[in-house]
Amino acid sequence: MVVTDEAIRSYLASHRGNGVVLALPVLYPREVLTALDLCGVEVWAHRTPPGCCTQGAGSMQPYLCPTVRGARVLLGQGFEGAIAAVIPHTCDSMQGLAAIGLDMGASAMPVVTFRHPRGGDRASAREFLQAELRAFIASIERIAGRKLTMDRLGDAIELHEGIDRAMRRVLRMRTCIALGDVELYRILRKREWMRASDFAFELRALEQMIDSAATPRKGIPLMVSGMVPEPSDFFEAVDAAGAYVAVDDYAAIGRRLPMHDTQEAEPIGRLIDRMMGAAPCPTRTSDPWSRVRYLVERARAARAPGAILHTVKFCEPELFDVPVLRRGLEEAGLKVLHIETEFEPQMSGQLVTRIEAFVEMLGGGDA
Amino acid sequence: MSLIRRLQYEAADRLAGPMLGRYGRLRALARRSRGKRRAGPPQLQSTRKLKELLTTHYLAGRYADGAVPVAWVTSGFPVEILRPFGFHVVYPENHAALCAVQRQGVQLAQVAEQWGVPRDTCAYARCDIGSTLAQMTPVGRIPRPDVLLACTNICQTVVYWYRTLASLLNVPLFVIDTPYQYGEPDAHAERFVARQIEEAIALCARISGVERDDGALGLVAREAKQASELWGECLAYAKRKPAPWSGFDQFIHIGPIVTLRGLPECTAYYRMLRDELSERARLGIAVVENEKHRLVWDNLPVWFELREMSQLLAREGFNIVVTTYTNGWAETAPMFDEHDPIGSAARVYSRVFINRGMGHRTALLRSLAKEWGCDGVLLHSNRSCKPYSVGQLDLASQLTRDGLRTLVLDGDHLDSRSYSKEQAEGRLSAFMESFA
Amino acid sequence: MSALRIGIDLGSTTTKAVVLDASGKIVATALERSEPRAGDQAQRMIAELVRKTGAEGAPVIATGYGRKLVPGASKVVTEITCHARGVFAQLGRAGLLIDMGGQDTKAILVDGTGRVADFAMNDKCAAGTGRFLEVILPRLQAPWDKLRGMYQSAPEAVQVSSTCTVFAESEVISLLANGQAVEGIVRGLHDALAERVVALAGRMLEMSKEVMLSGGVANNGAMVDALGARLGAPVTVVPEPSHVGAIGAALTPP
Ligand code: SF4
Ligand code: SF4
Repeated sequence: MVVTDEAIRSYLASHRGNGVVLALPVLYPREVLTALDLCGVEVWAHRTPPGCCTQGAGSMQPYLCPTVRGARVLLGQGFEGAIAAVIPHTCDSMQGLAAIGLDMGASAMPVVTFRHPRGGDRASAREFLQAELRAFIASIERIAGRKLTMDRLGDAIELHEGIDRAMRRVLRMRTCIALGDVELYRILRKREWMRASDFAFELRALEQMIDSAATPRKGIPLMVSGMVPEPSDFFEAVDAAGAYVAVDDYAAIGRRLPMHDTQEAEPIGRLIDRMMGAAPCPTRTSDPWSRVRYLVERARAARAPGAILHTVKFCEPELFDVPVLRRGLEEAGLKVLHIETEFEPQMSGQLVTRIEAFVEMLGGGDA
Repeated sequence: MSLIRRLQYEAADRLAGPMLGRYGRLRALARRSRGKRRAGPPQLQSTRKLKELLTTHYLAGRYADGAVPVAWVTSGFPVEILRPFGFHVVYPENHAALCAVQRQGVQLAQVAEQWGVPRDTCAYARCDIGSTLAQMTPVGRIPRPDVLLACTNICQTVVYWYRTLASLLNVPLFVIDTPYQYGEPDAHAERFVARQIEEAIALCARISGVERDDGALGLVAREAKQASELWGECLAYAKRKPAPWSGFDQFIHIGPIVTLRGLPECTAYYRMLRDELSERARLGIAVVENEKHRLVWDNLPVWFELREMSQLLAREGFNIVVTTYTNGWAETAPMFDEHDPIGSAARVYSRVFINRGMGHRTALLRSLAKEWGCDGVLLHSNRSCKPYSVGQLDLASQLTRDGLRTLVLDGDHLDSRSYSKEQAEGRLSAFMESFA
Repeated sequence: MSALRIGIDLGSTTTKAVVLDASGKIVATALERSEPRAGDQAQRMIAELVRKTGAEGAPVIATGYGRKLVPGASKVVTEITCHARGVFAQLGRAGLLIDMGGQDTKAILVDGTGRVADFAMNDKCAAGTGRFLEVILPRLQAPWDKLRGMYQSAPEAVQVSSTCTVFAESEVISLLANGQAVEGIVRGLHDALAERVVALAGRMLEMSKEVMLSGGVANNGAMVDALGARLGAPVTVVPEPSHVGAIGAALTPP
């Protein structure tokens, strides 16, 4: 596991700021939480108690994705005295979870929803997003019992922009950092639960490790695209097979970063730009061919000969893109492996075999 | 658009369809005189007209491309706005349901799976993508679209489905996003929807080369409102005890209100159906002999098992009299306002029950059970349809606490491979025994 | 130092081993049901083969599910790569290899040099594997060696619609209770399995002229027929179908 509950709990013991908020995948205005000095803890697989799938199965059908099934349990149990749960509209299942949390007594804490417009970037969508952001801010203010000033929001956005820039740089210079994927991701994924100022500090240390003179990493560079790198021994399997992650397109990590810096001055406008400008993602209904173009470009830049599409079981947004991504990437000369995980505590032998065979294949079959 | 094509289309629409319908009727008559008598009351007379309407629709479709603009739309799209522009409208969901009823759905879904669509996705989408890839359909031919129109009020899945179609067919896709309404409908979401409807109208005008006509839009809104109200009246006849028709009948007769909404033949059809049901009610004709228990159905039907399931229930005196699905088309459409066709459409289409929170869902089920005099609820947990199925287990426990008998039935609306008939029928039987 | 080489394939259901001579000819083979202590079993099987063939000191290449458990293996390679290499050694041409084992089924696109061009493997579910038949056939009391005859003599297939092994089992029970002929059900089951395999292979089918079949299930003539019928072209059964992986392992440069 990349981080255990224990790591988060001990961090929260001294760094909870003005309160803890649970945040569900994937895109929500984290900057607002930062501005109100709230510590947003994201709920991905590993945050949910063990056995959540069987427990969750009591109230959620087994054909729903494990993210939603697990989050359901945590929502009911509460976590570290969280004062609210932020549930963005990511997909039909996540929307259903929010609805259950709001109306069926399934949540131990108030639920705040956030609806990202679907159907692309257009004037009407931006206008809606603006109103939605204001409504979101108002709900959080009410729960936190504090007012948000635009100045503080502006500062928070600046902090996150700095983090995004640093993360982009770290991911781009990946081969010049003498860390294995397991350690690298242990740090990168702290963004999911640390307050932005603390994470910025960690990231700075990471940036200092970039050594452009270092001999590049050995092994076969891979591109990985998916929701979240779970189970985390995925990286061990990749490493053992003789490869490493050279391009990160995880929705939890690299895919969330805006592709360009925003020119907008006014904070709400900046937030809109940042959300609309994030890398293409099916949860926001981006066009799959724009994903192909984006991914091909990045794979070429990193000289990755192959891509692993790492989807979550039952995750429709990602699954529907698989055929187009596979075609598009293959047309561009990349080999593609599709694997599915269900947040099992460990990778199955079967999955490990597939990853090894894929790397053997990329290596030209000389294994 | 060529003139000859246009003539062919018109001929199919006006003449050949009705004739074919009549021919089908003759064949059915011949079959009946030969065949064995069916259990239960005779089929609704309107069923013939229904077949005729749908046959005409699909037949005309064969000649539509090249003659008139063609749009493929989702069931929850504000189709009214297309009518004044003369679009021929194709409903892939309706088509997939038809494939499922004829038990061809899985075969088509397999084409999509072989092409690469994973199995853990909505089977309507797989069936339709497969049908598009293989150019196979039980209706002969589906016209190629000029535009794809999807509305997120039923699910986000349709966007993924239609994007796949867009890339296969190389045609533009326009999405109307109806943000989910967790609590009370909110103004900024409905404003967003209204703006998108405006954008969609502009797009349709561009594609069809016909100018926007607000008067015509108003008339269509009126027509749609009327048809929906008639549909609501039809459904209400099932409140009678014993009910003159069942939820299973409703699943079949829902076709026109989904696909022909806003057209006069749709309104005329439901007037006819309403009159027939009123006559049945007057004569006290029951669809289930010895009706003992009445049930609500939640979620889409198990299309490929419609007949078997209704017979299984009817044998024990159980009748499904109302469903959240068929009620959906009567629930919000009365909000149509011919003087504000766009603003009212924004409300009608945003407030569809499946686009609303669980509080609304619970209240809806409670009131359907009460008004239709039901003592039990069947919740079809539909592996294909996540938006409709999430929360059903909570819903079931709530309704049980309210004193209703509930059963969550595992199934799929199209994919018979993920349906265990033995298990389902066993559970249904046990459920019915629990009423004793 | 002998010029012999040993390949061992530790599958989830059976463990296979071969000894090849310098020219790649098979000198000896072994096959056992896999035991819980895979490492010990592998060691014992290798020792027996060494004793029989005098292959002392020969390199041992391990593959299969338990490949990492073989003590003293000189190399460990996945069964995907080994199957491609093994089938190419046997048939000498490109093609799409379907390997149907007890717990998993693989589709491997082999290029003209014996390398993997693409591959797919079933997920956790047993639906498309030999396990599907292993669970259901006892219900029909259909002996393995009679399956082909039954498949061919069935006037038509009785459709088994569920793909889930558990669902299919109860479906078969009720088909029997409804008086359906065993032959028809046998045919329906194999057709259903063929359909799963085709779904797994997906687009790879279009990229290859020939479909080859290996794995334990290749010994089942009904499966060969069903797959051929579904593909509309005969399927080539690879010689020594159970040992393809082990042969490929033995041919891997240590
Ligand atoms: S289905 Fe996919 S997008 Fe939706 S919550 Fe699950 S993992 Fe996230
Ligand atoms: S069945 Fe459900 S998921 Fe599929 S298109 Fe309809 S509403 Fe969407």
